[in-house]
Amino acid sequence: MSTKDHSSSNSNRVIDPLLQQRLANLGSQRAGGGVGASLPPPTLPGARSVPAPAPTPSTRRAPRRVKPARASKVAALTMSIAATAGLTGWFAKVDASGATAAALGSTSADNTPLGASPAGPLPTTAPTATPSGPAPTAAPTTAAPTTAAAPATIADGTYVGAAINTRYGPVQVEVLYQNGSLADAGVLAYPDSNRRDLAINSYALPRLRDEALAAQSATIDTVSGATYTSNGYRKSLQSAIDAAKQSSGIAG
Amino acid sequence: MTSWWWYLSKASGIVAAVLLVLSMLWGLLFSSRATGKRLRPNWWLALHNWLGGLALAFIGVHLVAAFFDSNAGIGLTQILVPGTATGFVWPIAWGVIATYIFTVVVFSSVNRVKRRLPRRVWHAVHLVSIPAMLFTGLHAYQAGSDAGAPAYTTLLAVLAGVTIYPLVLRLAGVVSARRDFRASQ
Repeated sequence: MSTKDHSSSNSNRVIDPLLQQRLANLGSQRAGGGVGASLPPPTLPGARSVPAPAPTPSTRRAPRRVKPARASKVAALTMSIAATAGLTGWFAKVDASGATAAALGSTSADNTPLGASPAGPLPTTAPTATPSGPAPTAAPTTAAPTTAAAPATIADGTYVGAAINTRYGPVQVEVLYQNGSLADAGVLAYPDSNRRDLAINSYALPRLRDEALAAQSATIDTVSGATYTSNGYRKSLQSAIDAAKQSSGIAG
Repeated sequence: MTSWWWYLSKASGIVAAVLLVLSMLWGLLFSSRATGKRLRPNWWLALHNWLGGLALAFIGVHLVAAFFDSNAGIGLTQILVPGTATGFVWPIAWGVIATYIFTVVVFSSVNRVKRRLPRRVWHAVHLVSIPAMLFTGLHAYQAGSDAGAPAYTTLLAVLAGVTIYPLVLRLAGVVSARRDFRASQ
């Protein structure tokens, strides 16, 4: 270890002002902070002391680390919850007021002729029901019976049921009676505002039709996955059957 | 009560889609260093992570609400296994696949997991979120019961634009940087 000649080098030595400040603080702490009791700051022999600078914010203790974007995170969470709640309430309000179709601006009543499956654009993802029994014809949508059947049976003709509003749109059924029995039950209106509705109804409506023809009444099962359409179909079908009975003078 | 689950399912789905788009936007801005000088980069990164996690939480709400909506025909099988939904298979399947991808992306970005993954692997997993956004868009358009509504269609178009535009810019930047790098060598 080389010895240094301190006598000549220390005379030009300058103490770092920050170091000097810290030494001064240490000295005052050791003395207990009493007035006039502080020890003089230790200095190196021959060193020139430079007046310590005033304390600056940079010499103070570093602030606690704050998580970045905390306020923004809270704001994002709050707005997301508020948006979800608001949208939920808005959907409920629109549904309750019965303005769903108007708000969506898309549901339309499709005049599907009797005997045909519900409209052409429907994808054939499910086995489609072909009309059974007598050959179906595109009958006009009127409720006037054409032939006079026996008083105990329903007169031949087409009868239109009431349009039943469902969550997804109106469902309206039209029935065809021939020789006193239900020959066909087509739909005049069904939910078709989006692909989901079209996909569901493409398999649900033919099945409902088949069940109605088999049961010869509106007592038919709900098609799985198409509860609302099934309910609407059932009610409209019953309405059409009631209209047929009323026209034929049959009570009940 | 059933109807309320349906409303909640729709609302949470829309909010989740918006959060996903915002998270992707924040990530793209951060990765392309287009964050400006006003806010520090760690603010952008922190918010990107937070929005991603929040989006996943709202996807969970969306799934739970669809499960409890008895008229939706969505059971546990339909939620977990893509292609098992009745009536419209692919619209629901897109959503299920996108959910799985986002779950992997979010959890792979948690610090504890990210530290154990090689950088390249983590980055490759993260990039899979881009096709997952496409699946989300397909699900929202095909399975959304409001898909016929003009307001909903407009929202989807806006979200698509907000996603595609910065993504294209980012890709263009990457291609340009690589070209410059090769030219300099």
